[in-house]
Amino acid sequence: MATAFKVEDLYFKYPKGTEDVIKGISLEVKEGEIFGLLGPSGAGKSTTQRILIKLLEGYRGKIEYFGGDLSVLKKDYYEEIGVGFEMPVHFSKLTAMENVNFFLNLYKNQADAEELLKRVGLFEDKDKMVGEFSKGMKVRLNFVRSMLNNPKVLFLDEITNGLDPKNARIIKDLIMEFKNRGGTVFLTTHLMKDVEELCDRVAFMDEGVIVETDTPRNLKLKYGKKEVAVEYTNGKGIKKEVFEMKKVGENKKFIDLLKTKDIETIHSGETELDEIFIKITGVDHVE
Amino acid sequence: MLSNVLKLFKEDVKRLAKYNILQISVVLAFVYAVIIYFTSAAEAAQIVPLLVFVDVTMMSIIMLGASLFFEKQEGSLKSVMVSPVSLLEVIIVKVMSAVLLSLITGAILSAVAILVHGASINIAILLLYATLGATAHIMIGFALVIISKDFNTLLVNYIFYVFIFTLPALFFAIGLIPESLNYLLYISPSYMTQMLINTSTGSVITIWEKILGIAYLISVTVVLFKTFVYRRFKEYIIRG
Repeated sequence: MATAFKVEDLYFKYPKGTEDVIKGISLEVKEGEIFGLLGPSGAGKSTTQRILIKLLEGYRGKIEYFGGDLSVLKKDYYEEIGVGFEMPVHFSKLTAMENVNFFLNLYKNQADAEELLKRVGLFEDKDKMVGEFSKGMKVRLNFVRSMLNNPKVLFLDEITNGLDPKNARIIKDLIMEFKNRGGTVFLTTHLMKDVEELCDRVAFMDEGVIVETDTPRNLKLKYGKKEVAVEYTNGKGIKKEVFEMKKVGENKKFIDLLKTKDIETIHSGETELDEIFIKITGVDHVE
Repeated sequence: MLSNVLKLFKEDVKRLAKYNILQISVVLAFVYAVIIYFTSAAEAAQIVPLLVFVDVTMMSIIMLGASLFFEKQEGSLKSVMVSPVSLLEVIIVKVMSAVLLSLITGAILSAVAILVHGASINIAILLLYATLGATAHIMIGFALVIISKDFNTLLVNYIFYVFIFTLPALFFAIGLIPESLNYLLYISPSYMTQMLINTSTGSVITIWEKILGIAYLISVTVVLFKTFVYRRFKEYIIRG
């Protein structure tokens, strides 16, 4: 599997800034994987994404895109990537279809825009002005915008934020379909449910540095509580006991409990990713 | 590049109409035309270049500012920047659209003055110098937009520019500044534009003044573009 992006020792300082906001990060995104970048507000994840989509220049370090130097790539780079912003990015006084056609005509490789609009449930509203769209509709149109060129790599920023569960499901299914066709996704989000469902690997970022990179499963195994919680009834109500996962099969109290009590539930102790994030960074919220 | 520029230009003009900027510009031109209609032939020959000058040096900046701030606010410029078009193409198209508005005004006013009063106006010269002056002022407009955090700040910066560079040129045109001080106005892109546009209705300037005027407006355009606008426009689009 090829490496879509290889970032080595990346530093970045805004022109008017006094210090680096990206402080020597290194990461690799493999072709065909969904890579999630998580972090609190101001961690540097949006800046990292803006560098990778070449909206920000003047970085130090090395970034390779499929083995080539990203810094020398020109506008043809945008034929291969799709960018889904969190904020609305459409001409509000044009209809959805006019917006889609405007951007579609800028690409050599053009997707079936009507099909995309149908998939995200916007086809019926294609002749409505985007200014009249709800936030959720704008978010779905942003996703359509990002897919117009049949991209090789998709950059998505909080792409399900503001969507109801049904529409979030549709977008997540489309992302998975894209990945299953071999597409690579670089995702920034604060929604841990999305991360767990979609991401093959995640990187936690804080104060301009990457503090941990791994698969969601490995992170859970590494930082999770590794315990088993048993709920049972004992005649006076429901009671709960927690056992260490390690050698639980040899734990006499646990075995006795299973044999003698009326068990209601048994759960392995699965720490959520946001708890892991807090554990790693000490930051009490992920955005 | 040409294909992208033409595609973007066509769409930009459509949007100028959708956002009513084109209509406002045309209505303003017709208001000017009505003024010309009620003047004498001699007055028309004087007023046409003056109104074209005002449109080129003042309206072009405001129209550009309104269009850029609106597109920045809705985020559409950011989306264009992640498309296979270059920053240069985006800037060229914005200049072309703004120049088009000035040319529409120049053409309407000249047509009225010639058809109604038989005024002696060299339309080709008028439109050529209007294009040159508009391009320089649009580049100044880009610079003012880039240094302004919102539309209100742009208006304040714009008023500063107009007070320092455009009003003195206007005062000179109506005789409030003595002829002997005209060399002081040579630093004003607005004055240079006015001096050149006036030649379309028979105003006589020396060949050196003509060369200086043309060279100065081209220099303002090129220097602002290369040293400031091209470097900072992308940053303007993506910031906050």
